[in-house]
Amino acid sequence: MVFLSNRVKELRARHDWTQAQLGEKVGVTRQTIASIEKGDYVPSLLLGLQLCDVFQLPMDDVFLLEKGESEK
Amino acid sequence: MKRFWFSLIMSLCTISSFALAMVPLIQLTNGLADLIYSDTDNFSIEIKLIWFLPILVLGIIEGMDHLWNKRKNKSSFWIYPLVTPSDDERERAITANASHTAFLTIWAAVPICAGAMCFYPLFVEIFPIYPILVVLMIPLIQITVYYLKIRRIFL
Repeated sequence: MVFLSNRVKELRARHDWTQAQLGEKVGVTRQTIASIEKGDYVPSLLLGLQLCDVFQLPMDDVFLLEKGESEK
Repeated sequence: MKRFWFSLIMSLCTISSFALAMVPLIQLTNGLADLIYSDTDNFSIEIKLIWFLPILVLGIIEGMDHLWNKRKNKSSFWIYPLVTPSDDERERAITANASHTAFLTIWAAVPICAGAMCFYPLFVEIFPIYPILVVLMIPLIQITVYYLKIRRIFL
């Protein structure tokens, strides 16, 4: 199994933004940001790139691909 | 969440009141059937308009709510009070998944309802609205499944 984890919560806190503020910047609802942070929802490539653009970081620094035991 | 519960309750109430509004129409067709199959010259058909009252009241409430929240409600008047959240990609994905599941429930609901229709001869005299209730069970099941799935959008 392959999992996608992210540092959205940490980066948002670093910028001192609320979930609603970040949501507004990338054009999604607060609930969507909350779901991404919890790992319940995997964003689309477009939304992922938008988040990277907002944080001004490359994709690798925001999203991390984690491989399960069977994949290693 | 308030919007979710309002929409769910109103949808279920609309289906229930629609079923009640069918009662006088069944009485009307029963009267017509009696007229056709009997040799009497005189006939009378009694229709109780009270059965239309629930759907009339609901229609007024829903109409007022639709006009009141016209800016917020982006969905069509014809599917009101159903909600199809689509403000962002997550909501669209959940709504699409809920619609898919609701569609698949037809596969189970229709044969069950068709089976239930086989018992109609037992109720034809005492419960003439039985076939309408059985048919309305299909959207009732679909709506319940759909709302259970889209619930997490509103959490």
